[in-house]
Amino acid sequence: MSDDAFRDALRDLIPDYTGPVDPLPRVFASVRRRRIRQRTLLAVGGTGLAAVLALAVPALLLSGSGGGVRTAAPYDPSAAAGPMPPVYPVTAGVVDGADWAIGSTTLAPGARRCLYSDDDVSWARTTCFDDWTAGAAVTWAADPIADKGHQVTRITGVAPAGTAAVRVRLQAAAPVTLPVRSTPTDRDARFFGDVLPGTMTVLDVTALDDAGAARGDPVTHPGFACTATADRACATPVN
Amino acid sequence: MPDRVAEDGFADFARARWGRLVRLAYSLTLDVGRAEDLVQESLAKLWTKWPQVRDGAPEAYVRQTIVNGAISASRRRWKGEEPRWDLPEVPAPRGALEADAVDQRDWLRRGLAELSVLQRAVVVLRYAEDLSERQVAEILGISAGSVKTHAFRGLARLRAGGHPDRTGSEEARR
Repeated sequence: MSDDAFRDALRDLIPDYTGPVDPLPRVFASVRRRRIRQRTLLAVGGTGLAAVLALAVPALLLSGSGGGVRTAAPYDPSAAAGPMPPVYPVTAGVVDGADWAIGSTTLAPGARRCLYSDDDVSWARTTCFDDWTAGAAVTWAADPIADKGHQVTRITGVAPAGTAAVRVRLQAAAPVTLPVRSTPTDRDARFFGDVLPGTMTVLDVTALDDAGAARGDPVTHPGFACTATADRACATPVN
Repeated sequence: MPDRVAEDGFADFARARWGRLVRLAYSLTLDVGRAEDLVQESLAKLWTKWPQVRDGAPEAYVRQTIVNGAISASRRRWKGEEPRWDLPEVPAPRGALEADAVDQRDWLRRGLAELSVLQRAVVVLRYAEDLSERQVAEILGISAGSVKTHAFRGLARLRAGGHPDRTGSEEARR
């Protein structure tokens, strides 16, 4: 066998392989299965019940669409195994050597503009900014997390269209500039997020344009956002 | 869900690369089902990293994930169903003059099954993926010298496996 024939044979040991018509459902089924497996392991272990319940957030049926605190149906294991709502990538990174990722999603009519994480530093965390309206100033939330042995601060928020980035000023660290991302979750919104080591206090968040100039005043107070708790989704304000 | 992420480029990437990645995974696992599972899991992992790697080298990322996944799986005590090459239905090796593409692939599969997973990974990455020794070393977390050694020994074992023709002998001497 010549070297070329060897290479060719090595590259295609299964010449008759056709594969699935569309492999994408398999890939996303894998994403979902891994999450369900995590929930099951937790449930079997009898520990971390709160985390189990929090993991069910995407499958919970939220009720009520008005402002203020939202309520949700009690945790239902069968609901947890239901279809995951689509989560669109927003940002990702590494903190304390652990991978994290934030995506946008819509949980229900009353929880449309949500930023979701289920990674190496957090169990399923969802922060929703439903009170934000198109064109309004930037809104944000800072959420201390210690779910998986890493004490971190998860910053999430929504900025209006036309925003290229946001600058986040911190009390005990240098400011960080975060890119914003448009996703199908809400075309009027520009989502952003970051996970920082330790417990951080955010002083303010400023929307920036393409040139890096401020678009409006710094927003010193976090906006209204809600997150999931052990027994209710979006029942507890983040801030 | 898949259609909705199409605009992020991930869907196109996954669809376009699926077959090629399964072939890579197969050359490491020698089992179509396990290869598909490995690619599926690797792409799922890639999806969570997509914002980070989409503008960089997503194929390199997923290739590394596949290789590491294959090596990790081989190190587990229980690996599920194992491919067997000594089953009665496997046809007997043919002579040199009868060797055709089917024989070559069959022989290659048998030979790869005899290699350690690390040797197999080196041979596949070096000769099927056309990566340099340095690139292979980075992926596998070993030295370039080890890559050269594994490549040489892997090819030597493949040749010793009884193929009627030479196999990458020139490459092995480089």
